[in-house]
Amino acid sequence: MAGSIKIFVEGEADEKFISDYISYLYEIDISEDVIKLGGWEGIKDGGMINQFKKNTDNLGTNLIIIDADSDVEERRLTIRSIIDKNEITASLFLLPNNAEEGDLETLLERIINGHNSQIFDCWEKYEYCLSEINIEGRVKPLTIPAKKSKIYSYIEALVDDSNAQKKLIKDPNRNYKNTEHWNLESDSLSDLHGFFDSVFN
Amino acid sequence: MSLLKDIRIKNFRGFESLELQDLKQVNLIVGQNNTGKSTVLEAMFLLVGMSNPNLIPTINGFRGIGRIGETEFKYLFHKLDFEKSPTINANLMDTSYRQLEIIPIYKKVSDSSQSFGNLNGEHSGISTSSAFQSVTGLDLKFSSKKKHSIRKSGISSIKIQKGEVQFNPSKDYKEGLHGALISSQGKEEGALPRVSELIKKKREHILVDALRKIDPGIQSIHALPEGIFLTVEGIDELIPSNISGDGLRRFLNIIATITEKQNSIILIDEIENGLHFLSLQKLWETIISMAVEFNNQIVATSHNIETIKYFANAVQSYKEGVLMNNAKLINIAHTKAKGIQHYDYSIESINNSLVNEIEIR
Repeated sequence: MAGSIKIFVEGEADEKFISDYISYLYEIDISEDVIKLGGWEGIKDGGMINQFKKNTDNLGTNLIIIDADSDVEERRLTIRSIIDKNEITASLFLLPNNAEEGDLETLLERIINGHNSQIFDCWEKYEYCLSEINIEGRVKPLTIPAKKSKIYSYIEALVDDSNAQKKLIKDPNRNYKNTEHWNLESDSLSDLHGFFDSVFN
Repeated sequence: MSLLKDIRIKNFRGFESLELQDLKQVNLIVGQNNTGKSTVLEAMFLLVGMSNPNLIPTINGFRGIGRIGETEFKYLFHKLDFEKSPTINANLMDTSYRQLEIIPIYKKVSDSSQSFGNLNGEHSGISTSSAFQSVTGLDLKFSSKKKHSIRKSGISSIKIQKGEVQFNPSKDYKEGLHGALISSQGKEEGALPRVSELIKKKREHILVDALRKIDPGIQSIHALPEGIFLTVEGIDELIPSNISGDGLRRFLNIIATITEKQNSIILIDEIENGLHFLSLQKLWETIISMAVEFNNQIVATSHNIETIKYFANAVQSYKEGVLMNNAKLINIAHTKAKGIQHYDYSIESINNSLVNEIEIR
């Protein structure tokens, strides 16, 4: 009797995206089995290690999907060393594509519906503008908003201003299966798709 | 400290084998139904009082098994198999070691309808064909060893002879450990002698202070032959604790048990039974401060998430977290690949799991 597939992710944004993508690919609801680490370093917590071991003891499969951030190989080595040290079994995928540096937002940027790409053109102009302007009396340059803000603003631009629609902008309420906003058939998802196929097919 | 450090349980009730290591002063065992939480407490209880044969019917009694006979003896054996003797052993924090083995006493019977007439032909620990033998009792073979001391050992027994139950405690052994098991049944009949004892020692203020945490109107406590009575603010007559609700009586029983004796191992099954969740935090705060004050070890069971939350909160807030490394949660679970396993959580890990909505029961 096969066990569950548990997917360990960094936070609620990842939780919703991964749940929606798996639902899209295989028509299954895995949301109960997506476990938030509370940041990738949460993987070191003894309670989290127990979750891996318990799932393995129940013949389950563990997947870790976290951000590569600025150094893919360093992150891979760090996670592998935690896996080995704690004698747990898990397969690792580093966002955006298990090869490049980046994070969930890097991937999300690449999978927007192409019809909406002008929104990002505006955002890039906004970023450029912020980098160029000098505010009198200010020493430090202005901070360029994080990529999370870019994704947030992208969705905000596409929904209307009703409270119900505004709620859909937040991480846990997003609908990545909404084809007006996202393209889950994007080539940028092919590596993640292949990773999932190896366990869900 | 004569408190449990590690325990190994073999062939006892639902456990073929279970080892719990690095027990702390305060321990909460959680798990789904039928994972053996109560069995762990029973094993600890038997080991703490290993020379006392009365504990066998006591633990069966907690499960509602009143009769004493071959069938009831069998319930102690894993898969009801008399050929696999239950063995429980432990290392204690004072580096001593103790072991208990429960061995069936067989009697040859030529007629299956004949039973328990006399004990001629009885012998321990040998089983050939149970079709021709009947189990008429149990030997409790125990031993303990302290560092730099000689091993002490003995045999107690419980036997059925001519329809009568005979308890034969070993005469040469004096138990140095003290423990108590508070069952999940909630009858709390053990509270009266414990409260009486505390009142005799003029320590009833400990109980009253604790009870006031859940009912600030309680002014004093009295142990009368009819039971435990309370003086409550604004009421002229004494109020029997029986009408004060299950929660207050359980709270009282737990606190009276912890404060009865120092250096004891206190086992509490389904700790939250009868208690409103708001009383749980106060119960844990009280248990933890009393356990430290009386240097007692607590092993409680639960399957309630509120209990886990309040347990972690109370440990964390006790004297700025000094007990953080001396408390733990143990999750016992049936697994598909490895049978019964346990997973240990520090207080920090409990908090992380609760924040990330991870199921740890």
